[in-house]
Order: sequence, then C-alpha cells, then structure tokens
Amino acid sequence: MRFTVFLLIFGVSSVFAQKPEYATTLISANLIDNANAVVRFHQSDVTITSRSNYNIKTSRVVTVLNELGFQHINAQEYRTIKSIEATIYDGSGNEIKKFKRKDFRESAVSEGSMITDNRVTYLDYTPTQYPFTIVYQSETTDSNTAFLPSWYPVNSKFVSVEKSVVKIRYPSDLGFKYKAYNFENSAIQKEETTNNISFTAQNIAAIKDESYSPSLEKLVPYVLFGLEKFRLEGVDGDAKSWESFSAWQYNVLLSGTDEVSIETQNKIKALTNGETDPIKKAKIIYEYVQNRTRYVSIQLGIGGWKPMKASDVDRLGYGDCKALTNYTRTLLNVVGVPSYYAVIWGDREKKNMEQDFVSTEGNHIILAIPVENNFIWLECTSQSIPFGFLGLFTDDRLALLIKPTGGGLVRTQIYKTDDNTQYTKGKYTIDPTGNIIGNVEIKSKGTQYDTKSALQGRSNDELDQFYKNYFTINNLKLDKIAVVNDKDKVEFTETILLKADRYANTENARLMFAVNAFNQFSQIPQRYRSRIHPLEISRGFADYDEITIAIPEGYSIDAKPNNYNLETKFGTYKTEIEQINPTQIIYKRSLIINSGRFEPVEYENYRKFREAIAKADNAKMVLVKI
Amino acid sequence: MKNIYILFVVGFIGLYADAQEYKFGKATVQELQQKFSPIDSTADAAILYKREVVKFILSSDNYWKTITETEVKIKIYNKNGYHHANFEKYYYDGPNKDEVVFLAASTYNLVNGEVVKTDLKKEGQFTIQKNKYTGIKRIALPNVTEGSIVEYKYTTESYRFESIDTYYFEEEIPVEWSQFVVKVPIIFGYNVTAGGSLMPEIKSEVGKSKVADSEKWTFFTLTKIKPIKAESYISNLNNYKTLINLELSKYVKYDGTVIKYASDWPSVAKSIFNLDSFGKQLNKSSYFKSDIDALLAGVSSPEEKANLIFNFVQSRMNWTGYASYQCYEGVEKAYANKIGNVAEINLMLTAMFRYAKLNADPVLVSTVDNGIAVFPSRTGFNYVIAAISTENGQILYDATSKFSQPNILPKHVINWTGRRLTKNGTAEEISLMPKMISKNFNSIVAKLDQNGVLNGNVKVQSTDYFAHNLREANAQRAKEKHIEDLEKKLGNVEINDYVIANLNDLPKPISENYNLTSNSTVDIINGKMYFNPLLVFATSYNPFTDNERKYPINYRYPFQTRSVVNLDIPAGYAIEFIPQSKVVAMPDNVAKYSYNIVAKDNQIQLSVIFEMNKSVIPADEYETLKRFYNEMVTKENEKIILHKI
Repeated sequence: MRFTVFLLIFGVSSVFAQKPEYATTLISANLIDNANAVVRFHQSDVTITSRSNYNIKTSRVVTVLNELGFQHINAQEYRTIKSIEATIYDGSGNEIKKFKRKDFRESAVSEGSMITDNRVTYLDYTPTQYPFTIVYQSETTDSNTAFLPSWYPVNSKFVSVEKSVVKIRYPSDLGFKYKAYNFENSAIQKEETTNNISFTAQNIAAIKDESYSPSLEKLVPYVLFGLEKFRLEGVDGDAKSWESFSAWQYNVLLSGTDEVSIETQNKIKALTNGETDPIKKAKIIYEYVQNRTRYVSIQLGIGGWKPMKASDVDRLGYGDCKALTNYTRTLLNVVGVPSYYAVIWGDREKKNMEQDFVSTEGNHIILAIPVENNFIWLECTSQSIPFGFLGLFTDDRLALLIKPTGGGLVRTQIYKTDDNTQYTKGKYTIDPTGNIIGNVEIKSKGTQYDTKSALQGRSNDELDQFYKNYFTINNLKLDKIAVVNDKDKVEFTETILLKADRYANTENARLMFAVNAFNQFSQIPQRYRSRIHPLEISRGFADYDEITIAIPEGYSIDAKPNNYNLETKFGTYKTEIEQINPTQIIYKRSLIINSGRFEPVEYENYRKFREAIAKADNAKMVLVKI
Repeated sequence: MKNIYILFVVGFIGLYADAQEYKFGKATVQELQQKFSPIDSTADAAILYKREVVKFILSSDNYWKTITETEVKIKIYNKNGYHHANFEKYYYDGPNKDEVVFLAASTYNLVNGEVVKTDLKKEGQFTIQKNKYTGIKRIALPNVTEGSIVEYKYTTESYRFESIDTYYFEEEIPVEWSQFVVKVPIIFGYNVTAGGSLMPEIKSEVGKSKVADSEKWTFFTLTKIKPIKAESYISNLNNYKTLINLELSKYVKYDGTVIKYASDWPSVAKSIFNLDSFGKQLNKSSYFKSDIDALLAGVSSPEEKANLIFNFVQSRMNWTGYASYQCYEGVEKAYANKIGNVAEINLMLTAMFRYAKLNADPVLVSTVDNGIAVFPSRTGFNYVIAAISTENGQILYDATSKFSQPNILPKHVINWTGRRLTKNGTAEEISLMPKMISKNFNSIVAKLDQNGVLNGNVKVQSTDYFAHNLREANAQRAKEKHIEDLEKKLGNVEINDYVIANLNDLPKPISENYNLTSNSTVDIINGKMYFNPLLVFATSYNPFTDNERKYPINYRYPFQTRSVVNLDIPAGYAIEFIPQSKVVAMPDNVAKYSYNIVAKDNQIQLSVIFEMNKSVIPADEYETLKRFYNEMVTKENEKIILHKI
C-alpha cells in the first residue's frame, strides 16, 4: 500500500528545569559496566483497598545510556490509568521535554495474538540524544486482585539498578501473602509493620548475557505477592492452597463450557465404538480433534483466562490452547475417559509454577489423562504432534491440574538423556578425485524427535536447504530425501542419498578428508574471559553413529585419526575406526551430553570438552596411492 | 529493470476468454476431492479464484470514493496450509478512513460425498485498532480440514482514489485464476503501470454505472500462476511480482475544466514542489540562518561547507523512523525539537546546502520496502534525500542515519534509481546504486609453533560500506560482544588486545588490530602438518547452493576484499606441498579472484584478492557466478603440507 501516514507527538514544553542529581556522571562505575540502562530509582506503592480494588503509584527514573537501553524506559501501562506523565533530562540533568497524559498513545496488545481485548498505553518518544534520563510517574488502578504486581528490581539483562523499592499496604482480612526468591545473592532490605511491607534493593550491577546460563528468574531477586481472597472479573476467588485455587478455577472458568450437541456426542461415541481401553479411546479422540481443529489465538474473557465453549469450538473448528484443550476434555468426557485441564508455563526454557506460592500463573494449557500413578499429557494446539508427546515446550515442569476437588501441581513428562537419541547409519564411497557418494539414515527420538519432526511437510526446496546446512559438506548435492514420521513409535526417520565433488583434499597425490562426514558436533560454546553465571545444560541427548567408508582400490591408509574416549562429568565421547578389508573402513562414534547444573568455573571445562569433540569430529584420514 | 514494462490501456483490446474453471460462491465435489495443485504438487494451498473489482461511487455527502470488491477462494491441501484459512486486511483508519466490510465467508467440506457449506458468523470476525492510523480486520474461517475450500468476499471503501492499491497477481502459493478489474467514469484518467515477468491478458470495454453514464472498464487476467519464492541476496520480493498499478492522471470537473495530475516527470516535479509540505519547506531558511552563518564563518571551500552542514544536521537531528517525502510538523518545528521525519531532516539539509550556495536538490526515492517507482507519479515515492553537483560528479546525502556519509546511504535507500528535482522543474533520473568500491583489507603476520599452535597479529582496514556495516552492527551490539562475535565468526580462536580505531570518526576507514591464538587451525597427522594458508580467514562454503535462480543477485555495492598472510613455519619442518597460484574471473571483469602464494625458506607469503565490480548480477549469470564461487572456495580450501626434516 502506497499510502503514508505521518504521526508524531510532541509534549508541551513549558518551564524547563534542572535536576543535577540525574547527571550521568553520578552513576558509579560498577553500575555502568555491561549496562545499557540504569534504573536510578524505582518505587511502586501498591495499596490494596479491598478485595476488588488496588492502586499502584509508580515513580521511576531511568538513565538510558545507549540505543539498546531505550526499551528499558518502560513507560507503559496495562491497567486503568488515573495519571501518567514523563519528563526527559539530558546527561547533565537539564530538562529537555515533558509529556502529559495526552501525549501517550494507546494500542491493542496484538503481539502473537490474533484477537485480544487487552490494551496498552505507552510513550512514543524519539530520543534526541544519549545518554538521557526519563522521570516517569503514573497512578493506575485495577479491580482484578488476582493479578497483583510482583516485584522484579532487575527485570532484564544489561540493566543495572541504583535503588528499587516496593511498598504494599493491605487490609488484614484478605489473607495477604508474599514469597521472596533468590535473595541470597543480593542485599535486600525488608521492612514489615502491621498491614505494610516493603522491600528495597540497592546497587545491583547489570547482568550479562552468557550462553548455557540459567534463566534470568533463577539469577535475580524477586518477590511475588498475592491474596488468599481475591477477585477476578467480578468473581471472588480463593488461593489458600493449590487445591482450593484449582477448585475455584474449575468452577469459574470451566464449568458450563464443556457441553457439545447430541449429534457430536453420538459421532464421538460411534468413533470409539467397540473400543474398551480408555487410552486407545483417548488416542482416537485426540486424532479426531487434531484433524478437525486448528490453533487460532483468541484472548478474550476474564482477562483471557476463560476458554471458549466446547460447543463453539465444535462449530468453528478452531480455538486457542484453552479452547482446544477444553474441547478435547469435553469429548473425552463423552466417552467416559476422565482428563484434566492443566495450566502451565509453555516455553523452551523450563519454567515452573511456584510450588509454595499459590497465585495466578502460567501462559499455556495442556491436557492430562490419569493412568495409574502417572499421566498421559496431550498438547492440543498442534495438528501433528503424536499422542502423549509434549516436546520441549512443556516438558519436565510443574503444571496445575484444574479439578473440582483434589487438584494440584504435578510434573510433566521428563525426557532423560537416553530418551533423546539419534542413530545415524550410513556409508560413503570416496573416489580418487576426492568425490564422495553415499547414503545415510537418521533416526531420532525424544527431544531430538521434537526438533526433527518440524521437517515433515516441508517442501523439497526447504529440505534441500536444510540438509545443505545440516551436513558440513561443500558442493553437496542431495539426490533423494525421504522423511518418515512414525507417530506411534514417536520416531522420525530421514533417509538421504547424497554426493559431493571434492570432499577430500587431493594435494600431493593424497586423499585427505574428515572421516565423520555425516554428524559433526562442530559448534563450540562462546569463550568468556570471566564466566559469571553457572553452567546449565537443560536437557541431555545421545547420538550414535556407524558409518562405512569405501576407499578406492590401489590406495592405502597413510594416516588415520586416533580412537577417542573422552569421559567428563558433562558427558562422554567415543570414536573407533577399524579397517575391515583393504577397501572398507568402519567408523563408530557415540556422543552423550548429560543435563545438569554446574559451578561457573566448570563452564570453561565444558567448553574445552566441546572443543575437543569438535576437533575430533573434524579429524582427517589420509590415503596414499600404493 | 528489464522486467518492468508500461501499458497504455487505450487501444489494448485483449483476446482473453472468460473461461475460468473455478467459480466463486460454490465448490464442486471435484474441487474438494483434488489432492494437490496441478500447478505445483508440493503446495500446501492454492488460490483457485481471486477477483478484485474497483468501482467508483459517491459518498452520502457527495464525494467521490472507490469501492473495491475482493473475492478469494482457496483450496487447502494439508495442515501446513491451514493458516490460509485466516485472513487479515490492513486498512487506513485515520481521518476520512477506509471502510472494510466482510460480505461473505464460508468453508466447504466433503462429508459422505456431499458438499457441506459452513458460513462464518459475526463471531469469527474481529477488528483491531493497531494504532491511530491503521486498523486490521481479521477473519478465521470455520471447520477447516485437509481438503477444505474456503472463500471470502469483502469490500473496501476509500476516499483515496488518487492512487489505487497495487494489485499483485503472484502469491507464495499457486493461483489458478486471478482477475483485476477497474471501472472508471470517463471524467477520470488513470495511468496504468504493470510490472513483473508475466503478461496479463487485457480487455477493455465501455460500460455504465449508477454514478456515470460512460465508464471505461478494464479487465486484467492471468491464469495458472506459479508460486513466487524468495531467494538469498534479493531486495524486495514484491519488486518481482507481476502487478498492476493505477495512478490518477486527470480529472474533468463538472464545468468541463480538466485538472491534470502528474503524468510526466516535469509535472510530477512541479506538483510535488507545489505542496506546502515540500516546496515551501525547502524555501525556508530564516530558522537556521544564524546557526549556519556561524558554522560556515571563514569557510570557503564548497566541499568543506557541504561536509560541515551535513555533519551538523546529522548530529543535531533525530529521525522518528517515519518515511515520507512530505514534512509533517514542518522544518522549523523539527529543527527546534531536533526530531523529524525523513522529509524534515533532508529538506532542511538541502535548504542549508542551497543557502551555502551549493548546487543542491532534493532526490525522491522509493525505499526497498516500498518497491520501485517506474512511472511518473507522486505516490510511487516515500522518501527523500539530498544531492549536490560538484566538479567531481554528484554526491548523495541522507542525514537521517547517524552512520551515513556522503555517498554512503542506509541500505533501505539503495534501490535502483531516484528522481532529482531541480530548480528549473526537471525530474532527472539518477542512480542510487553505489559506484565506489568498498574495501576490506586484512593483513596477517603469524607464526606456527612445533605443536601446531598458531599465533598472529591481524590488522583489518574497512572503508565505505564495510565501515558503514561495522558501525551499524556495532550500534546494535551489547558491550564486549564485539570480540565475542569476532571469535565466533572466525571459529575456534582466542582474540586478545583488540583495538578498534575510528569507529565513531565517520569519514575515516575503520582500523582493527588484534592478536589471535588458535590450536585448531592445523591438523597434525602422522607427524605431518596440514593447514589452510589463509588460516582462519578462508571462505569455506559457497553461499549459492540453489540449483537455479530467478531473480538478480543484489550485493548492493561493489567491493574488494584483500588478505595478505605472512606465515613463519616452525623450525625443523619443510614444505612438502603448497597450493598453486590461481586467477579466476567472470566475463567482462564482473568479478575477479586472484590467489598468489610463494614460499621462501621458512616463510609463506599469500595474497588473495576478491573483487566484485558490480552491485547487481542478472539471474542469467547465476550459473557463472556459482561456478566462480566454487573455484574460489575450492582454492581456499586447499592445504599446505609440512613434514619434519
């Protein structure tokens, strides 16, 4: 569309003032290190006036040191605004601009969501210089006491904090509670008087990004607040225990949403007719749902927490995670298979519901079918994931089962190192010009299945591109690619015929080539001059390879790589090369990486381990003409 | 731009027959049973039918409006195609906003051999206000399974009849039948441009409507259109799509007077100059006079004046991120607030250049995202920069970016040609593609020890666009990341004593200097050392892996990279094998690669030069280019072998 709109909002510049205390030069050096922005001062005064109302007064002073720090001005509100304003100062503390309420903009929170009724009010400001300091003040109010603010003095990497304070004032009859996390590494002051509590953090240096480090939430101090007696969209709730909270969610969010027409009921019953095993019934229904629904993100109703009615999903054939999970639950119920709607944090980085602090948490819904002492977990938003498979998005973390009675937290499926395997089996033939031709079969399970199964349904061009990146072979030509997704076995098989010109270097009448042509683990983790955070390997895996190499007649081995056997606390790496006859060599390799959390000093050892693997995986064989 | 052609609607009587296979408003058993697209069997979905009709109406308050009626029918072959059952329409939502209304939306399925139609009710329609000026209407079609056919119909009413939204025939899925229809009362005249590689069939006829007794109806039709796919090194995929674009050229008023809209470059130039938001802004000078007088006091060289003014505007002004050739707040306010859109910043710059008696003009540009402006029009452009004519040729300036320099423009501006609007009313076409060769020079002095450990010193000099890229990348990078990124890029090396000079000293080339250590550069096998003489700097992979290419390869700027290696081999070793020197070139000196290696005593000297002398390579030279890279990569992967004496 060639229509341009131009918009720009200016504040009224009236009396300009100076605040020398905001000068950038006053920030101590340890807070400048690694920081793109410095929170000079942040105070939240939260007043809970009743079960159905709380107010927040925010006063925040942030010095933005560079462009990357701009996102941390955080001048935005999602709650109802009573007042909002901001003033910008230059690096020496001279006022350069003032923004009033009308200068703020409003828009839908549409990121990642097709439909939403959430709105955000934010400051649209183009900085004229760096560094600058923003003084932001707001007063907001909200009736949903289910979502009290939490306190994260450090809510991002590369941001340091001079002083951050939270003060909460609460009535004594609502069962106010709080829980503090990760206080051991930071000096946090707590003050508590009747119906008042406050926390103060001072002088926290910016956190650097490091690979293989735990998530921010495991590193920074924070406090969660909540009420045992709260209200959500006009409905009273109870958060004394996970069980009572679960019962409340069941009553308010689920009851009345789980009905489908007689026709649908009959259809479902007919589908499972003759089947007595509840798990087999569940599988039939799960596949039925997968075949006739799709995921459409719709965030409406009770703060986006209430699922669409099952009858609506049945009619429309789509819904979000809540709607599709609840629909599956409803259909399972029709055929007498009990299942539970389960709230969880969905993210490839594992995140738990807080076991000992009952509050409104989570961003995703899955379904749990009880079997003996365990559960079968269903991800209802995917049209292709196998029955009972969760994958990296929801594995190994606590989920809240929503039940009328007896609900609570349970852990989802854990993928252990031995579950996440990849078997690579193949052969390649090398000719005197250094060209190779070969075939390989790769079978993946567990988390490796999860990653590879995304290849199903890709076009030939996309697969061609994928394998040209996957194999570290130059001039690669893929003659045939076949992928098979066995959902019953949860196993993904790739069969590939390939060739490549000049795989081997041919200098000096010798053929020199990397023996491991098909599965090099070549990436080496980033080196850090001083590692700060612990090393975390969140999931383990195991690769096993067996490759037959046919060498041209009239050549003999001039040199071959040693057999390796590296054993570390992070895993093991083994290779074996054996010539079985004058033209055939067998190469066997196993690589096992364990999950675990290790002290920061161990990071360098892990890196060295990976470095050794990368080097061994690239080790060359030299053939010479007899 | 050989794929752009211009159509003159008058006199074009098409030959096409109305024989589309697929109809809107129904789905047949045969269509529902279809398992794959006959156009592309791997497609996840296909458009069976798409028709867009633009008509004129009068609003209730008697203003002309266009109403565009769009009908789309899509076949979904598999689950990967489900997202085609969700549709969103962005529309202008500011004053005199567009109105989008969905008239129908249905899904067809085959149930027990019967065609079952499910209509979408209001519940599946959603409106979102994205911001003050943009709205989005979304629909999610019901009951979609593999094999479903979905269809929807909507109208868009708009007061912006001056420019009708571009119609694209090609999509990322196959299209069986696509037709664009414009029904224009004869009091309006439109210029029609077409672009892309396909030629639609065109039929014209005379018709009438409620608002006009005589209208010109034009039908553009294409059938069996293959999906369009993105490739590496291209600018904007839309530039290559087959499209129809209409731009108002004249309007006959009730009294018979004819209002002509720009249809040739001089009148485009004139109409843009006449805009308050353009010409008037360009003629103002009082707001900067005293500052510029002070800035230029005692300076007489035109070159120095130009540089001083450019640096002044670049450092004072801050770009809002909005692109337009028209000012919004005006240059005076922008100057005072130090914030402006593209027009405010660059028209201010042009005005200051002129004030300093430099031969400067504004240059209209269409950014890469906006596509290419080929036909004389006001609406094809969305950006403006400044140009100065000097004895040594023309120099281009864009002061919106903190990293741009004279003739070094941000990458969104490098889009074929712009139009320079001169004082005497001409609109001269000028090339925006950089001509100077950007250079990158690496000098490596290194030593191998007896354990195969490499120690060396590296000096890198980057000029022009190489320096520009480094500056842009650096601005987006967290502290300390630079060394870490470099270590990552070079593979398993350790970098120490890293120094970077002139990073913020704009006109100067950037120099980097560091020491590196690596213990993985050399393979020691059976007492022999194998290593690449380019050490960690070799190009190990050919970036062009696709078997064929449809669109030109766009490098944006010509360049030269040069590496010189001086390497001492360890004592007690002798050279057993050394690669041969080699030169590879593409025809007409488009690209050239030379590899020169000599060994002397215990030292190896290597000099590698890679030149790309054109910024854009046509697609039909892809094979040659791919082979050229192959030769280069093969050479750069050859190894030196040392053996013990």
